[in-house]
Amino acid sequence: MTDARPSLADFQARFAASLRKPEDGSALSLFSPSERIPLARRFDVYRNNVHASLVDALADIFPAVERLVGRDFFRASARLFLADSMPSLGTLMGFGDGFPEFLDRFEPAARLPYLGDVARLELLWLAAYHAGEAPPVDPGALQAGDDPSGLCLRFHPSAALLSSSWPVFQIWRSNREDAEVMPIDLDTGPDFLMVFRSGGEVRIASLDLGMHAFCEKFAAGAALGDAAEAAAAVDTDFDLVAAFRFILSSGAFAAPLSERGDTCHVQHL
Amino acid sequence: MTIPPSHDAPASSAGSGRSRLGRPTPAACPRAAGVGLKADHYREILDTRPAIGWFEVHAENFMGAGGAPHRYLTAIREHYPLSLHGVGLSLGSAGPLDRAHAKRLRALVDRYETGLVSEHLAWSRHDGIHFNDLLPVPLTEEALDIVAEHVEETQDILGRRMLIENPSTYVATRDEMSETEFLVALARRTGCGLLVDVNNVYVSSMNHGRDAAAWLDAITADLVGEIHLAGHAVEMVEGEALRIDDHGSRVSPEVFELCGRFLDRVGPVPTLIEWDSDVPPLSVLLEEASKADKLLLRAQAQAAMMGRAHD
Repeated sequence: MTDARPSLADFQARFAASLRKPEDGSALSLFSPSERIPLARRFDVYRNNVHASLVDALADIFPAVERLVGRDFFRASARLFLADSMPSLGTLMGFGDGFPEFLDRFEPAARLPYLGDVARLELLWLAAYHAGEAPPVDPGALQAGDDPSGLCLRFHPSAALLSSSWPVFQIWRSNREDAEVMPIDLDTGPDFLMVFRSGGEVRIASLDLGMHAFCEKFAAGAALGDAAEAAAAVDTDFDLVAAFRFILSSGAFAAPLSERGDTCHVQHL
Repeated sequence: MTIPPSHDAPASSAGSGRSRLGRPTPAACPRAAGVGLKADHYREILDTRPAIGWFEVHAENFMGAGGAPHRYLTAIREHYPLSLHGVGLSLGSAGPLDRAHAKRLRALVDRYETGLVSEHLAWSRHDGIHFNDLLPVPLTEEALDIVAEHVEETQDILGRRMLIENPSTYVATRDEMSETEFLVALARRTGCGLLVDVNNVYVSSMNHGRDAAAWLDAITADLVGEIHLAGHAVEMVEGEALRIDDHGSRVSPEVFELCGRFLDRVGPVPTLIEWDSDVPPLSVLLEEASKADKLLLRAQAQAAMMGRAHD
């Protein structure tokens, strides 16, 4: 072993430092000289692989954002995001979490003020796609004559709420699904959305103000009666029957697990 | 708003694939061609049940809690053996093994009863950052000690033998031994097998002006648990070709040629067609697999003729 050969830890520290800095050639001394192709060009393969694969991963998570800003803009902003937000897990779980906030603050994207919320919706979509399984609410849980006000349920593990000042659902849908993006009236917001998985597929439900208040309260652990009260406070037309139908048929709610492992149906107050 | 009722049901936790006829699909990957499983092909595979020996999955794509990936993989496992191929364990990191990641691999091995489990001679993690690429390990005694320890620790967590794959490299590290010496020593020391990626052998050998056939000659049959085949890109740098392992095209004729000769010597082993970027229709992967199957049949005939038993 020559004196100049670094330890594995030192090798990796220097290699990693140079990977992250485009002009940093200090890692090149770690390698044997190259006759034909300059070492710097060889090292660039790793630098490109790392950054291109992570930018690709972000493009997979945020396809609507990419379409809104265009490929070049997206890749440039993703590279900037990576400077402070490299992934920490080999599963890439959690990677991209800070991207909506990055876009909120990203000056060149300021003319698209809804961009951060579109990214938030895409993150919720991904979370719902990978979330754990749970049996849905059994519609038979509600027997005629039961007092439902104390019904205890929970969100399906895939379900989450998003509210936005912008018509973010339409923007998202058109940019994900349409061959040609539809013109969207930005004054049609705000949006209150619920993202969840049903039948193995991710769905997005557009809620009205009352239903959103209802679900928000519910997500915070309130019983059904309290959630209905909160909904009626913001929306005098709040329709509890429609809310029930949504709870039972959407797949966005799951039966809670009791300690005994069976499901909690109706708790009478 | 009409939203159909949910059909969510917990994915089966039973590992053994079981077809509708009730006969379990064996866990072992046959000594035949398999293809890398891509999300774009899930439905077609279930609808058409192509005649292919087995599928390989990137383990990290199935480390989420639930949802479509597990539903599809559970359904596909009912009909095919699976191989689990990790790309994020970073066995070559100087720091401690990511035991949580190794345990996630174990959970997938148990859940899907995978016939093979493999990872790479590479590192991807340093100082809490995951670089998402297979970075080169200098082939030194110190690195051999570290990688061997990580392989042993992983095998203990998995409760079984794993295979280690040779990487494609673009820089020559200042080594104390050849890559084959390193891999053979690693296998002898830890009991792991080798996943010989013939495309990587070719890419690295060409990039460093070495002899790919000699690399393959240095590997004995008893160590080979699986073969990988993939396409690579050729980038011209200052008039010289630099080969990049991008898994984005058909297997090159040179790589098939090397693979055929290797198989003739070591006998048939599970051989995978990988294609991970610009993924083509399933039919293209199956065409590539049938080319590999021809090489495997020839190797089998050769083995039979020479009276050697490989099964």
